[in-house]
Amino acid sequence: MADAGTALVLATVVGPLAAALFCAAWELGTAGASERLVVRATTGGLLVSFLGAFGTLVRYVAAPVPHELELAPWIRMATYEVPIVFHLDAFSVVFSMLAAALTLLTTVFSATYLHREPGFLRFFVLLGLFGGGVQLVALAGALDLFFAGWELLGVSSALFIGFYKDRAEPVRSSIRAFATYRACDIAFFLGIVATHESFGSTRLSVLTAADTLPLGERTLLAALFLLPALAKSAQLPFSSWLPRAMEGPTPSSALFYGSLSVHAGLYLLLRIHPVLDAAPLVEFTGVALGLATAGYGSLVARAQTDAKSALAFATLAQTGLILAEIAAGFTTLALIHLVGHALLRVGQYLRAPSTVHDAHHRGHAETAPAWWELPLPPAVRARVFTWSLHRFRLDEWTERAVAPLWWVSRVLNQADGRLRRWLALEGEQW
Amino acid sequence: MVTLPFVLAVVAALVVWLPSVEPGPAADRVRRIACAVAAAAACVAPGPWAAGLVALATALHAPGSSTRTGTASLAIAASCHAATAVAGALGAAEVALVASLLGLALRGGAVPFHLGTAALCARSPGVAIELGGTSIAAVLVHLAWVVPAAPALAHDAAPAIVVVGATAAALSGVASLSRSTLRGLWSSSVSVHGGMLLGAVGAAGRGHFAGAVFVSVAFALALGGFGLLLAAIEARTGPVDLRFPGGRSVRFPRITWAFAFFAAAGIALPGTVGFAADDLLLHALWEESPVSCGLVLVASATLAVALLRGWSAAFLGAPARGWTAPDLSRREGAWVAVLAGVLVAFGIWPMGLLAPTLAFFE
Repeated sequence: MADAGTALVLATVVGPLAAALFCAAWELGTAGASERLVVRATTGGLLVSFLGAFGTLVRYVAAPVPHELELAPWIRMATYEVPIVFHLDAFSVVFSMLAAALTLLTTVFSATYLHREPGFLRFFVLLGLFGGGVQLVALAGALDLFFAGWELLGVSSALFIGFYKDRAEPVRSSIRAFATYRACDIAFFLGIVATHESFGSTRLSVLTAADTLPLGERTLLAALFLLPALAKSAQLPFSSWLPRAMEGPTPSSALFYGSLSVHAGLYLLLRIHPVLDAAPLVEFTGVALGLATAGYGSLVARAQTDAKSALAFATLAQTGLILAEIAAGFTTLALIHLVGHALLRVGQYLRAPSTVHDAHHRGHAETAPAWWELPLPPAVRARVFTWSLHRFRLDEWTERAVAPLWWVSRVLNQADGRLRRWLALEGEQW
Repeated sequence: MVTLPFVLAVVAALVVWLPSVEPGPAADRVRRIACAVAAAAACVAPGPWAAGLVALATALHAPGSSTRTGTASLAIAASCHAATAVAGALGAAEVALVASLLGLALRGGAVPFHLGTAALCARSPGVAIELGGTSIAAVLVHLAWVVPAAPALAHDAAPAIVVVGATAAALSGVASLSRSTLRGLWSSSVSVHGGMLLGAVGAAGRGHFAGAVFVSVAFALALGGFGLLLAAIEARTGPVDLRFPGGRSVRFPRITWAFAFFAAAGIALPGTVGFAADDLLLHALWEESPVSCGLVLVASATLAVALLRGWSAAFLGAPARGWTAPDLSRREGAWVAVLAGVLVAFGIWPMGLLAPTLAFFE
C-alpha cells in the first residue's frame, strides 16, 4: 500500500518536470518541436500529475490520517540529514489537487490561446517547471524540499512575467518580482537553517514542538517564515510587484497571480502554523498586515481602469483576508477560502481578455446601490480616490527603500575602479 | 566504490579542458593538457606532492594569461601552493595552512584578492575557467592534507576565515548589481563564489568538509559553463554591454537558454549541485557564525538579481539584426550537455558525491 502511495506522489511531482525536460531536450536536440508535440507532452505530464494528485486525495479521504512518505535521504551525514519526504494531510492533498487541476486546465486553455505565438515552446516548458515546483511545495514533508519547489516557482514566475521579452517593461517587471522574492528568501533559508538547529530536523512534523522553544526563538523563527510568505503572496509592504506581473500572458497570470503562486506564501504559513501559533507577536503582525493589504487592495482595485489590474488588486484584497485568517488561527477556514478564491480568480483572469466582448453581449455590471457607498465627506472621498489612483505611491516607497543598496553598489564599483586606476591596471596588456 | 579523489580528478580535468572548445594554438593545447594532468594527479597524490602538483598546475595557467595582473596573481598563488608543499614537507603545518588559504583566496578571487582573477576574467576567460578546475584540486589538498596537519590552528581560525569569506562574498554580490558588462558580471560571480569557497574552506577547519567539496565542484562547473557561453556569445557578437537591451535571444536561442541555465546553477537552482552546495555551506556557516550565513545569503540574492538583470539585458529586448554567426555549435553543445548533465546528476543525487566525500574524510 505504501508503495502505491509513493508512486502516486512521485507521479504528481515528476510528471510535469519530465514533460518540461522532454520538450526542452527535444527542441535543443532537433531544433524543431512542433506545437502539437509540445502540447501533447505537457498535457500528458500534467495529466499524470493530476491522476497522481487525485489518487493521493482518494487514498487520504479513505484513511484520513496525516502521515509521511519517505523515499530516500537526499543528503545524509552523521549530524545532518535532508530526507526526500512527503507530508500528506488535509492541507497538502487539497492544495496538490487544486494545483494539478488548475495547471492542467490552464494548459489545455493555453494550447489554443497561444497558438502560433512566439515563445510557444518556452511557455509550455515553464508551465511544466511550474507544475513540478508547485507540487513539490504542496507535498513536501521537509522545509528544504519545500524550498526547492518554492525556488522553481520563483524562477518560472519571473520568466513568465518577462515572457514578452521584446518589450522593456515586462522584463523590468520580471526583475522586480524576482528581486522581491530573492530578498525575502534570505529570511526563508535562515528560517530553514534555524529550524534544523532548533529541532535537529527540517521535517514539517517536528514543528508541532514549536511551543517548547523559548519565546524569543520561536518569535524569530515565525518572523523568518512570515517574511517570504508576505513577498510571495504580495502582501504589504511587498505588494507592488503583483500588478506589474500582469505583463505576462493571460493564462500565466491566471495560474500564477490569480490562483496558485500568489497563494504559495499563504500555504507556507499553513504548513508552519504550529510555529506561527507559538509566536503571538508574529500572529498579530500577520493579522495587521493581512487586513491592511485587504483594505489597500480593495480601495485600489476600485480605481483601476483595466480589467487585469483591477483583478490583481482584488486578488490582493482576498489574499490579505486569508493571511489574517491564518494568522488568527482559522486555518481550515483559510484553506476553504484559498481554494474558493483560486477557483474564482482563475476563471476571472481567463475571461479578462473578453471583458469588452462580455460588456457588449451581457451588458455592463450594475453599479453599487447608494446605501453601499461609504458615508464620507466629498473632500475625504476625493482624497482617498486620488491615493487609490496612485496606488498609495507604494512603488515610490519601494524604490526609496532599495535606493541605499544601489548607492552602496555604485560606491563599491567606483572604489574598485579607483583601485584599478591607482594600480594602473586599466587597459593593461601583457 | 568510486573514491572522492577519482571523482574530483575527473571533474577537475574536465573543467580545465573546457576552454579547448574554442580552437586555439597547439602550444596552448599542450599547456592545457599538462595542466589538466597536473590537476587530476594532485587529487590522487599524497601530501606535499599533491600541493606541489597544485602549484605546478597553477603555474601552468600563467602562460595563458594576457595581463600582467593576472599573471602576477597566478604566480603568487602558485608560490603559495609551493610554499604549502615545502612547509608541509618540512613539518611546518601552520605555515602550510596559511599559505594554502592565501592561495585559495587568490585563485577564488575573494575580495580583496580579486584583482588578479578580475583581470583574468576580463582578458583571459579561458584561463579563468581553467582556474576553476584546478581549484577543485587545491581545495581537496587543503582539506585532505593541510587541515589535518594543523587541526588546532584550523579550528581556532575557522570563525575568522568564515567571516572574511562571507563578507567578501557579500561585497562582491552587492557590487555585481552595478556591473555594466557581461564580463564584469562574470568576474563578480567568480568573486562571490571565491568568497563562499573561502568561507567553506574556513568552516572545514571544524569538520565541515562536505560543504567545501560541494562548493568547489559547483563553483567550477557552473562558472565554467558560464564562461564557456560568455566566450561563445562574445565570439559571435563582440563584447556585451549591459546598459542597453541586446536582443540576442532570437538569433542565438540555444546560447540564451544555456546561459540562463548555468547562471541559475551558479545561484543554486534546485536540481543542480549548486543547491546542494548552498544547503551544506549554509548549515556549516550557521554553526560557526549565523551572521556569516546571512551575509552569504545576501551575496547569493544580490548576485541572482544581477544575473537576471544581466541576462535580460544581454539576450532579451527587441531582436537585433546584422549578426550572421550560427547558434551554439555541435561541439559547444556537447560540452554544455556534459557540464549540465554533471551539474544536474550531482544536484538530484548529491549522495553520489557526498558518500565518497564522507568515506574519504573518515
